[in-house]
Amino acid sequence: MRKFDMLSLMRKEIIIGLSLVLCLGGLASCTKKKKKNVNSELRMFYVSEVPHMDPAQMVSAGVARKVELLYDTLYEFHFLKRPFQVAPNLAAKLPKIIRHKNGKVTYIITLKKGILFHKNPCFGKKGTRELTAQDVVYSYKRLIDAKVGSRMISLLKELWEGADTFLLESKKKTPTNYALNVPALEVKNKYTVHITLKRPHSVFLYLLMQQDFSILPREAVEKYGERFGSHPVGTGPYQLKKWVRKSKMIFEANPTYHGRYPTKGTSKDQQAGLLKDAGKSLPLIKTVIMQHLQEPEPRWLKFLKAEVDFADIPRERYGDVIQGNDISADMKKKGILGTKFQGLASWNLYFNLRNPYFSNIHVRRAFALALDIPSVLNKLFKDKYQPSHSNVPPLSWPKGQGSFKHPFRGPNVKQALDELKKAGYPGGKGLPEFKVYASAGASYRQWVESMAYYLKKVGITVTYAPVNSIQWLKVMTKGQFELLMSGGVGSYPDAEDFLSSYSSKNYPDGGNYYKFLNSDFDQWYKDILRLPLGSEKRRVTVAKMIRLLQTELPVIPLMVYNTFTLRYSYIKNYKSNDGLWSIIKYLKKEL
Amino acid sequence: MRAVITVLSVTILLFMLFYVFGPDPAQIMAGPKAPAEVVENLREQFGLNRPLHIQLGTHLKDMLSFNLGKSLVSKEPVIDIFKQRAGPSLSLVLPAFVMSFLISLFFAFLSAYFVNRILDRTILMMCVITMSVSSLVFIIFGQFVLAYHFGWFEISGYEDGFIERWPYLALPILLYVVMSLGGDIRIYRSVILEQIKQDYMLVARSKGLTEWAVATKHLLKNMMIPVVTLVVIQIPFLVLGSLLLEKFFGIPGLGDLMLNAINSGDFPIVKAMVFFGAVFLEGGNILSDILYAYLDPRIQLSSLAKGQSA
Repeated sequence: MRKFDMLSLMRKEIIIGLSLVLCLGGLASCTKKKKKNVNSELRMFYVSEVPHMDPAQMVSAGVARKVELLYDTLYEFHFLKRPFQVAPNLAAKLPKIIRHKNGKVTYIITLKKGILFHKNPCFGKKGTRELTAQDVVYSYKRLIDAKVGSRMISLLKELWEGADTFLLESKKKTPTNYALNVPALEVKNKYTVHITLKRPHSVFLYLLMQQDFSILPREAVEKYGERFGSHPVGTGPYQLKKWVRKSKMIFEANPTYHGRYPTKGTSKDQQAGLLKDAGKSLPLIKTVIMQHLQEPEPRWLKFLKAEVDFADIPRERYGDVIQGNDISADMKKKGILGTKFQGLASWNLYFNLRNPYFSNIHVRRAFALALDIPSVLNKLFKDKYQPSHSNVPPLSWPKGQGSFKHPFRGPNVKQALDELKKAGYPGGKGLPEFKVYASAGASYRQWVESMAYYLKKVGITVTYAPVNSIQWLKVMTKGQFELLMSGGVGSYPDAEDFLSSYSSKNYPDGGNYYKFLNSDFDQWYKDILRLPLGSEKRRVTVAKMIRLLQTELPVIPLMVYNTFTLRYSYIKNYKSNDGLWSIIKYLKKEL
Repeated sequence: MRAVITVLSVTILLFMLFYVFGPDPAQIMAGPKAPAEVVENLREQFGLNRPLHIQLGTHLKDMLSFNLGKSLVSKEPVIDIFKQRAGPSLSLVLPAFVMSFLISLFFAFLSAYFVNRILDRTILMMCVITMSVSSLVFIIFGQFVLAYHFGWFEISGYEDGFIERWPYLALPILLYVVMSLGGDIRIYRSVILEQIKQDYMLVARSKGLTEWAVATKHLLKNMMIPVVTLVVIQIPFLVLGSLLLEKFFGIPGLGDLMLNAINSGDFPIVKAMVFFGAVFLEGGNILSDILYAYLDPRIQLSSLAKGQSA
């Protein structure tokens, strides 16, 4: 076989190939033209997709942190005070609370004057207008509009007089009639609103601070219709300048923002330089750029190159970055600071008590006693998380009620075997193989496999059943799981937020996801809603509820955060709040 | 006609799969803690409580009129979402595909020319290596070594301006090319070697044609039929973007959209993606038939002859 003349044959291909390689090189060289890291720009990242930014349809804490930049609620947490304290935001002062003899409670709320909405074409030629009490009522009525579908609907229907009628009307096909009166929501004058609850609700003020209760203008909702979630118009510290979905969000400072940097703090705050900007107009940084960085490794590399100003630590690198109880010297050399982060979250192993094996408390105890959770956490997460003793994270524990050490914390193989014997399954004989439903992903798989290793020691077999978010929703709402490993993120620093999941009255089918039914627990849950926040009686009741869950074991607490958030030292005015709310408006950059 | 039947069948099958086995879209929209009345109201709003045949009819009518509906998650029209996402996907995949095609053709010729010699074996070995190594390894290597360590590329991200986007796309394009080279080179090499053995090559040379003429007029044209088949098969996948690269490099493309839509049960997006996938696949098949006839007129003539005899 004769060979063909390679050079003449390939002339064109060589030229084209080389040109393409040169093009690629050219493209790569463009990357050198990077934007400078400047004081006026804060560069952040976000992990979960933001589907929309309609406050009334809040889906996750991640979305709430973005919504907070754009919208205001009546109240917020004080930036500097610890333990966390409620402070006025759109409201001029804390509400006056009147307890009526018939059990009703009225919150008298006075608004700050002169607060303007973001400039937007929805306001016509003027471009903006002042926020009034009518806007508060309109925004709150949206929460009981069936067409909007807020997660707050069932709670507010129970709390607000007239909410059920409004809800019923809103189910009709015609546009919802917002002129329909809801007696619980009264506009007294331009700047005063009265909200009346049918019964006391101890955490109602915390609820008013949730992003669901953000105040928004009716004009924007009417102009943008179903696309309102992509065209946010609020009174928040920032306005949305650009949003490339799944890629980038750019926020520009609201020039008419009403907020000011707090003037009061502790001496520690003074020493830490947290009061240097006292009294200044907020926000302090002009532009916030949020990049969507889903994968932990590129996120980390971008942080190391100072392309983002904050970072979380990937679990694979945790052992290298954190040494002892501090960040490594290498990190410090790079000008990186670390702050301890506890967070309002806990991960647990839930039993489905519909399952006859799990209705036997000795089986549940055997599970808890067989597990060596500290070893699993050390092996899998290099101690990024710490073992938890309750499904309520420590940040929400009632103060002065002693320790909540779990009475059935393993590893204790002998005691676990004793419990199995008491349950009638000595050495695990007679127990079937159980499936642990958990999110699909390497870390959850490793978690379940590690648990399986310890449970095998007492004769219990579990396997991993990966589920995506849709399957998770299905197994949860239909009660089609045996064991479920999942995490819960709280919205406010009170145990009620985590205990509500076990009340038998909190879900549409009259039960809870786990079919945990306990009349004492239900009564105590009612009590903690009634008793004033911070009262001794409430603290004692919350403690009793936590201990009851520990002994009844509908859930095995697994872990809570024990981690650090990292930032560059040029970020000033940083005070950790365990991720409870966005502190972006207070931050400053000094490069 | 066959194409229309295929597209319709795919559309109906997908609808049935979602209807029978899929999650409740109203529950997805409302969230896990939503009260039953909210879920029921959403069912009513979106017509999800109507009988199966009515829903199927509406679904088919919508598809045929390209009324793709709204995303259950973002509430935005699906067509708008596609418009936003198609640009980034095509910006990544089209140049990468063209480059990978030309470069693999180049190496395939090189390998065939030096067949069974050290260069050929080296190229083949490299092909096997690129095919065996996981895509994730390439991505992590690219991001850590080329982008972070040497600083030649952006680590990840995307800009939507036509000029601004390329610095962010350079590394994923390079990785796409490298990851697809192995398989392509081996296939094209086999095709070339097969054609070189054919009698027409011997005849062409015996006529005294130059090597350039032999290669361009005879070899290239004849080898194009299997090559066109291979290329056209990939067209629908190009439209769907590159899932892994989009995910790791933060490129807001269609591959990433599809993955998230499946995970979140966003049926309008999934059905539109599958519908377009089927349309492009069939479109690709028709295109390849036309190209065959253009590249080799005998194909057309023979089919005409068959028609006449019938």
